[in-house]
Amino acid sequence: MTKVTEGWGTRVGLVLAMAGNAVGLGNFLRFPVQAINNGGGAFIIPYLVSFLVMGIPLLWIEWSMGRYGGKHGHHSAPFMFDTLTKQRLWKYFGVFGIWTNLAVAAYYCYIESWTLSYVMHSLGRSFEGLSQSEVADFFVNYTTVSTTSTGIPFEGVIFYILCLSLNTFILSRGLSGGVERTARIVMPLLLLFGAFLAIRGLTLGTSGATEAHPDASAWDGLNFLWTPQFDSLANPKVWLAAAGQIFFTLSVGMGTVHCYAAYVKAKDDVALNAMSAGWMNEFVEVVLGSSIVIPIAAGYLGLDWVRENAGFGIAFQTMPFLFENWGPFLAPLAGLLWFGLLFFAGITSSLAMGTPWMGFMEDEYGWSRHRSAWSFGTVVLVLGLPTVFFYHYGVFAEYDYWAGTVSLVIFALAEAIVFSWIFGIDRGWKEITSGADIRVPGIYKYIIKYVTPVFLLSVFIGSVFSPKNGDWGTAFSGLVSGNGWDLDSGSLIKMIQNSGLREQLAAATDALEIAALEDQLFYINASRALLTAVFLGICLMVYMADRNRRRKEIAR
Amino acid sequence: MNTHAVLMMVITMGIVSAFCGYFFYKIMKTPPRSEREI
Repeated sequence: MTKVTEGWGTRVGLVLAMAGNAVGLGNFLRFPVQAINNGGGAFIIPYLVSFLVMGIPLLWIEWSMGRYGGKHGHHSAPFMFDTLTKQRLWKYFGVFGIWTNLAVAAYYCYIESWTLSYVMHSLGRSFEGLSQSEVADFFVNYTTVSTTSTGIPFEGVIFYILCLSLNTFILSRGLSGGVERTARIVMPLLLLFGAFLAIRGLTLGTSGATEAHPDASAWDGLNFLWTPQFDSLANPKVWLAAAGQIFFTLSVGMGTVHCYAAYVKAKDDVALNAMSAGWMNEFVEVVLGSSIVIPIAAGYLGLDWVRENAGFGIAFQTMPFLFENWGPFLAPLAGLLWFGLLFFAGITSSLAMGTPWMGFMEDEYGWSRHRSAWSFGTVVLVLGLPTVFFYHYGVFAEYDYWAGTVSLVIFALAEAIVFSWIFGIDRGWKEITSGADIRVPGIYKYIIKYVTPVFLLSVFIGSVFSPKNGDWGTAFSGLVSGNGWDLDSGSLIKMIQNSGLREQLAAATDALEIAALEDQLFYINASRALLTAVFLGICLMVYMADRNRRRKEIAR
Repeated sequence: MNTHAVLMMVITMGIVSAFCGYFFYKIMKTPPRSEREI
C-alpha cells in the first residue's frame, strides 16, 4: 500500500467533479428519448421515484463506501469490498468497479472524439448547404474509418487518439491539479452552453416550420414530452426504463463515485456532497436535457419525425442540419455550443473512469500517478480501437451492453447487499451520517436495507427475462395459460445467445448479406472474448495483490 | 403547449431546480468539517 498524497483541493471542486462524473452524453441524448418512448410526461414520475428510492440511496452507499475505503487506504472497489466483509470472494465483485470503467472508457472516448471533431467541422462550416441525408451520411462516413470522406484520412482514429491522450494527460496531472481543475472550468461552461440552447429550444415555437414540414412545432415536442399519461404508470416496462435511466445518469454501479469519495477526508461530510452532486445532475438532465434535442428537432422536422427517429443518432446526424437554419453566424456558434457541451459532459465522465484503475495500481502495485495514468490510456487504447475500426460490426454496441448496462446492475446489487446486509445497515448508517452537514431522513435506513436491493433485483430480473416487446401483461398471461414466456431479443438470455443476429442469419438468403452477418457475429464474439480476458486479467491482478498483502501482514 | 404539459413541466423543473440550488448553496456556505475543526 502506498502513502496517499492525493486529495481534493476544495469542496466545491469535489462536488463539481462528482457532478461532472454523473453528467454525461446520456443527460442530453438518452433521457429525452427514454421519456418519449415511455409515456412522455408520465415517465417523469417513475423516474423521480427511482431517483428517490434507488438513486439517492446508491449515491449515499457509494460515497460512504468510498470514504470508508479511503480511511483504510483503498481507492478502488475490490479492496473497498474487502474492508466491508471478511468473506474474501466479495472483492471479486469489486472487479466490476475497475473493469466497467476501462471498457466504458474505451467506447465513450470514441463518442467524445466525435464531439471534438464535430466542433471543428461546425466552425469550418463542413455542414453548410448539405441536405439532411448528406449530414447523416457524413456521420456514417466518419465512423467508417477506412473509407472516410470527411476530408481527413483516418479522421476517426486521429481524433480518438487525440481525445484519449487529452484524458490521460489530465489524469496524469492528479486529482486536484487535473480532474478538479478541469471540472471547475468546464462545468460552468456546460451549464452556460446548455442554457443558451435550452432557451432556443423553449422559444422556437412554430418559427421553424417550412414547406417540407409545414406542421413542425417545438410546442408539439414539448407537449409530447410533458403531457402526463398516467395509464403508463401501471406498465412495468416504464418503471424498468426509468430505473435504468437513473442508473445510467448518476454513474452509479461503476466504481467511480467510490474512487472520488475515497479521497474525501475521514471527518468530512458525504451526505450533503452526494445530494448536491446528484441534484445537479438531475438539473442538467431534466431542465436542460429535455429542452434541447426534442423541441428543436420537432420545431424543424415535426413531431412524427421525432417519434420515428428519436435516438442517439439525432445528435450527430440531424442537429448539424437543423443548426444550418439559424444562419451563417448562429449555425457555427450553435454547433460549437452543442458539440462543446457534449464534449464537456463526456470528458468529465471519462476522467472519472480513469481514477479507479489508477487508484488500484497506485495502492496495490506502488505505481506513480504518471505511470498509472498512461497505463490507463494504453489499456483503453487497446480495448477501444476495435470499437473504432469495427463500429459498424456491432462491437461498440456490444461493449455498451455488457459494460455500460449489465455490469452496472450486477455491481450495484452486490454493493447494496454487502453494505446493508453484510457490513450491516447500523454500521452503514453510521458511515452515511458521520460528519453529515444535513440531517439524513431516518426512513432512508429502511429504504437502503429493503427497498433499494429489491428495486435493483427487479431491474436485474427484468433485464434477464424481459418479455417480447416489453409487454409484461401478455407475458404473464401466456405463462399462466401454459403458453410459456416469450423472451424479447433484447433480454439478457437472448443477448447471450446472439438470438437476434442468428434469426437474421437464418432468414437471410443473399450471399453478401449472409457473409456480412457472419462477419458481424465473429466480431461480436471476438469483442466478448476480449472483454472477458480483461475481466479475468483484473481478477488475477486482484488475487496477486491480495496475496502480496497477506504475505506482508504475515511478515510483520 | 397544453395546460397539463405546461403544469407538469413547470412543476418538475421547479422542484429539480429548487433542490439543486438549495444543496449547492449549502455546499458553498458550509466549509468542510476538517477545516472547521482546525
